[in-house]
Amino acid sequence: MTDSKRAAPSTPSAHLLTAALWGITTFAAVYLLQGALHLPGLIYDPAARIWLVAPAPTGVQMRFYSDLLGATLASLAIAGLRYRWKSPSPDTTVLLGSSLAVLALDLAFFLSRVLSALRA
Amino acid sequence: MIAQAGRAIFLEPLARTLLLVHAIVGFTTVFSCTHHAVYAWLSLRGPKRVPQLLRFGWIAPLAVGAQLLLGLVLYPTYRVRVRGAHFDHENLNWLSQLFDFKEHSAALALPLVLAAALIGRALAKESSPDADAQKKIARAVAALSTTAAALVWAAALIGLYITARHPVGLP
Repeated sequence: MTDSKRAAPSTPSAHLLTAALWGITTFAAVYLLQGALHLPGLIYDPAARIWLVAPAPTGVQMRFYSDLLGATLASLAIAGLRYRWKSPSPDTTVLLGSSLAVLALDLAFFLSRVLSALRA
Repeated sequence: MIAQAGRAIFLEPLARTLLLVHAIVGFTTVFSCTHHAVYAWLSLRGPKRVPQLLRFGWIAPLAVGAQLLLGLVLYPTYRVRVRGAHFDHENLNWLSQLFDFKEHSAALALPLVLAAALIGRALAKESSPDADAQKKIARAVAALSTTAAALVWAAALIGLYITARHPVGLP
């Protein structure tokens, strides 16, 4: 990548945009990977009203809270670090494209579950 | 009112009231996000729409945050009374997956709305001589805001469909 494509953000809004785009990419990636890779997460059983740590929910158990919390914390951490660390960053167009691409990947993955359930 | 394991589900007695509030806040969410996206695009194509970017820059994230919280509170009741009791037993797994897709869409919209609102507000208050840089930021705000609005619309329409099939608060 050339120097013209990697420059420190020039204005406060550009600096905020860079941090936010890193945050969005992190959110989308962590949100997808936690469930897709069956990473252990905090699972809530609404019928029994208990919390447990497991790789995947069964029956009416749910891990939505855990996935949302994990993605939020990770994205806030990365966005906060990027905001404090005023170093050169890829062009905002590249960052925006990456963020939206990871987001599209998430949506395609979740939509594929609907489609496979429809075919079943 | 008693769950399968003999314990009450969290906030189940308030489920129907919460569902109504969820629907009302849903309208606010959809329209504030749409307004933000429209003004972000208008700011990209012409002069900056400062009052609108500032106004919808706080209404949209507040509405999305409130809507997501209401959804989180209603989710346990849906999971047991609608998904567990009906969709899973009536061979309607695709409806369960469609509902999950709605939840994921709403969750993914949250960081987009927050980012678009924060950057839109910063952009509205800023006066930089670098027109090209400002244009790039305005384009990013418009893209984030439009994607968020599309996700929120998808979540709202799927939510209405699922509620029409089987709302929470009914046996």
